Amino acid sequence: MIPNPTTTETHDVLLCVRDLKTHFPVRRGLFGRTVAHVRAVDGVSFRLAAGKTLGLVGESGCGKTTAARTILRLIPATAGSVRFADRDVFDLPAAEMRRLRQDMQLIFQDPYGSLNPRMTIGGIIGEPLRVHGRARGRGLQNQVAELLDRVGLSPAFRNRYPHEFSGGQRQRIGIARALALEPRFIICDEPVSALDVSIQAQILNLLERLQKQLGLTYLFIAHDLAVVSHISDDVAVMYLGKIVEQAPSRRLYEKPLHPYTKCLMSSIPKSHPDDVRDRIVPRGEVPSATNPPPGCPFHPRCQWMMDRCKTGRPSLLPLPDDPDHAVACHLYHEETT
Amino acid sequence: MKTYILKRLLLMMPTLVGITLLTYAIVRLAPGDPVAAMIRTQAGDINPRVFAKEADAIRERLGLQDYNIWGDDPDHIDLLEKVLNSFYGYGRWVWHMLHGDFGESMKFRTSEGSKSPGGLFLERAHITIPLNVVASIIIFTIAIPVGLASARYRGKVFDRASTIGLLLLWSVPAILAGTLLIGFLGRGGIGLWWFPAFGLHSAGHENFGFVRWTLDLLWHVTLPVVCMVYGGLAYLAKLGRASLLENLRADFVRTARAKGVPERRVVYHHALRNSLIPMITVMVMMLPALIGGSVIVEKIFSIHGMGMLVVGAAQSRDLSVIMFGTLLYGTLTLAALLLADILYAWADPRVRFE
Amino acid sequence: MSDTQTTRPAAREGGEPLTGPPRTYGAIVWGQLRKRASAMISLAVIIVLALVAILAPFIGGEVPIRWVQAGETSWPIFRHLTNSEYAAMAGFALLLTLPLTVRRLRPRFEQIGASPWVRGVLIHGGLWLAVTVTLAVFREPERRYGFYLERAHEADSSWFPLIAYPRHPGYQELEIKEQPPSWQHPLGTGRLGDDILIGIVYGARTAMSIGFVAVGISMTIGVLLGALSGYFSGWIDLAMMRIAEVFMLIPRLILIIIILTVIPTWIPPVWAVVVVLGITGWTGSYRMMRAQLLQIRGEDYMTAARALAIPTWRLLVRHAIPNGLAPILVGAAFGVASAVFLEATLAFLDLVETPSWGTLLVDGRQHLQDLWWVWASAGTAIFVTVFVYNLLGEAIRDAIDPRLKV
Repeated sequence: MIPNPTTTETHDVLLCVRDLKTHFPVRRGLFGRTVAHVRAVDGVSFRLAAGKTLGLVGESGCGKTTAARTILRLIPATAGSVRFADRDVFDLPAAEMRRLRQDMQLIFQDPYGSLNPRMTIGGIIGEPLRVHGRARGRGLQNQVAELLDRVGLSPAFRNRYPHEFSGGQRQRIGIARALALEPRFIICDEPVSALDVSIQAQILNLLERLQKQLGLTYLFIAHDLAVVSHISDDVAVMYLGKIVEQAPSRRLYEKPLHPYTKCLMSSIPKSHPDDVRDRIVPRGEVPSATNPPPGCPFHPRCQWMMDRCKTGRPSLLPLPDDPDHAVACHLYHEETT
Repeated sequence: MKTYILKRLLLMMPTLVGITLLTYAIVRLAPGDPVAAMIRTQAGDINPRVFAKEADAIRERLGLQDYNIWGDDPDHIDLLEKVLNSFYGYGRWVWHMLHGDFGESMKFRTSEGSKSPGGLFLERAHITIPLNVVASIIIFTIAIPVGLASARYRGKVFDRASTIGLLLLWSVPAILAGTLLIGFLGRGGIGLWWFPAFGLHSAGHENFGFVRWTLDLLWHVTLPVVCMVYGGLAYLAKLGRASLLENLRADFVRTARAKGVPERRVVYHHALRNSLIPMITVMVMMLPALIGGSVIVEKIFSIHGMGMLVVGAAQSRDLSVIMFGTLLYGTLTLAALLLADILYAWADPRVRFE
Repeated sequence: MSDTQTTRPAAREGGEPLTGPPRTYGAIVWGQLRKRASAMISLAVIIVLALVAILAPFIGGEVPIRWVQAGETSWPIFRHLTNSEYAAMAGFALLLTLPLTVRRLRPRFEQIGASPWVRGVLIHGGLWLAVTVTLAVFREPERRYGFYLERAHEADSSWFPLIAYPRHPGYQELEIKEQPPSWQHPLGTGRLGDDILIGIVYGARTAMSIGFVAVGISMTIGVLLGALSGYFSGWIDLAMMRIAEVFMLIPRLILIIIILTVIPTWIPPVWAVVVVLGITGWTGSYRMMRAQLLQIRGEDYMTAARALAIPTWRLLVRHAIPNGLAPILVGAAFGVASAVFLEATLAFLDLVETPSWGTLLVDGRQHLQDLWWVWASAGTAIFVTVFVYNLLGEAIRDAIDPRLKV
């Protein structure tokens, strides 16, 4: 049932997300009766092999960030399960969860809001080490220095405050903090979207280098397909809380299938003036996640819309001729679903 | 909107119960016997037996009895019994209150019997409310223009002078100000005898015509009103200044300036209206203060207003009056809070409930 | 670290080391405050007032500082100072030196994620407690009023306080009552022959203790409850909001009056007032802190800390509260100012008879012309104190304005 384009063997699957749903209740009335739900994440499934990178793309508001935070159990999930290193993340007791958190970390989009302005860089990076009893005193200072060094910053920065740094430097600090507990898995939540283009490449290279050095697994979230396909092994495209297409990044880039992916692709600026491509612009606005359209969530905006699309909800299925490429669109699948 | 208001009204209930219960418990559980003290001061030395009978009658009427629940030692009532008794008394007070009966004052008794707290407050309201209304109007008409002007001329001499000046005024203790006003401008003082030193009416005001009566009243309230006004100016002016500055920095004002709107129109047409919205809250929140009454001003100028009524009631632990005042003030404040929020949402379409 | 690229500091890609000392948020706010003459003047006045309050026995009183008789030198004042006076002195000295301690601790603690402020407060608080308890257990102050002043001529040499004049409960000197200012009595004498300057100096104690202690109590309660309420939200928040409303609406003056009329005589009424003000005055800082927390809760650094499994109490104490504390300080300055006013009001209503500016003011206003030096001194003292606190509050408000934030 779960499309499994990334790996054929199951033993090196690090993260397995199954039918994840996060709904936020909309309360109204005297006693806060729940009248509706915002379906921020509405049935997301994927697997991620150790040492690989899965890109997650979609426009703002499609549920990428919510999905990321639900996977880390920072937001309660409504349904579904997340297995990390063969443990059920949502079922762990508090003490176990505390241990597991050290294995999965988060890098943020906003390099300004993600660092506590009242703490020194050394404090920000050293706190997790201290709280989890990893190091104390001189050993702690050495580890902080080593972490700063690893992300390309001078250890002399450790008694500085976040406001003294540039956006790129702050992002490096955020990465160092995420690395402090030696995690195996890091969710990068749009880590370069807020940075200048010249800095973006530096941070992406740093992330790639760290992945190689430390054998990290990334879930890389972005709204920019170009950035994602650069760093990812596989890319999943999200629309309105659902994954609509998933494929190895090269293949997705060359041959996007889902109409929504095609729209995204056509919006990437061309690298050569002679490179003629049709601009595919979706019609209308993104529908509300409180009341998603029946059938295919993209059908009101799709130019290849068929009658089937209005009623039948397409599921994410691998292509008959390419098991690594899955798409949730009636154009590519028989009526049987 | 309707459900929001209903929800807020429901949430007021626990607060009101909390305030009244806490006040009741403090007045009741504090050591000493207010009823006995009251009778002694009102009647002088009385025959102890008559005294006890009278005291019991009053306690009976007001629900102040301390019943001996365990029935062991009739003269000894322990703390738990006291607590239970005051819960019972509170319940009784609520029950009577819901039927429109707020009890009777112990302190204010005439030959015809005790006065009701509602009547006492109504009596004082005739004095306090007009005084407060006049004072509030003056505060607003002075402070807001000053605040807006100092925002417009930010950093200029007027801004600095008015800010420091109002801050200085705010820091003058009302007791000193009142004393000096009476001493130097009041009759019987050591300076100019321009204004009366106490009271609200001249002798024989019953026979005055309307115009003369009003002028007489205004003449009497001048000094008290000045005393009530000067300290409140700084806060409002500061608020008006901050509010207008905020709007003068906004993008829509920059746009207006960029497209060549004259500065006067930018300030008065574009920025000013938005700046006045926060004033609504302040204005509404002043409503409960209208009945509050300034104790200092009332005492200095010998005005029998609500402030002194409440202070006197507290000093003689006049339970019914204290409870009435607490309930009145609490209800009005909570209602004003709600009203302020509703008006704010009405004035500023960006604000949404929930 | 096998990566050769990162071993050479000069080749670091993340930028060169910054020059100049690191700037804490406090240093930034302090820099803003330093630019304003009004803030500096008001701070200086406040420190002088506090010193006057604490060193009152050295300024006015009857116990000599140094006493030489028959070739023997003694320092009687140090034997006469009460334990609470010593405790107040120790507290003041420890408070003033706290920033120095924090500065010393900072390099050691801040690099590793511990708060130098928390440590500093713990160390200084512990020291103060130790001093106070030791004094209370082992020391009995001397009380020989009138002893030295009467024998002043017997001494070979003596240093008396600036105004060598008796001051103890029940003292009267009706022969020199109601005298206008002179060299012996710079601010004149009162109706019972008491020296007004001494009254003002000791009144500063009442004003300062009411202000500082009441505001300290209410700020602590408000910040803690506000932080919990805003962080947890939900029904905890709903319940706490109701409690805050109750305390906001409970008539303070009535409460104070009732409590003052019933407390046993061995409790100083000033303490009762301070406690009542403290436990009823927290709603302002509570609301502010709650609003701050509602905003801070959603910040990314809080999410990061939760993702790092930082314990909740630490999340609040180290991440949330320090980021929301600044606006509360403004309220604290204004709170002290209004407490000084309230003390005068209570004196005016004949509720507190502690020697205070309020009592002097109320005494003096009965005799506007004959005792002008009494009300003028007391009124000026109240006015100046309230004004400098208001000025300081305004200055802090401007200094922490988010638009100036770096």
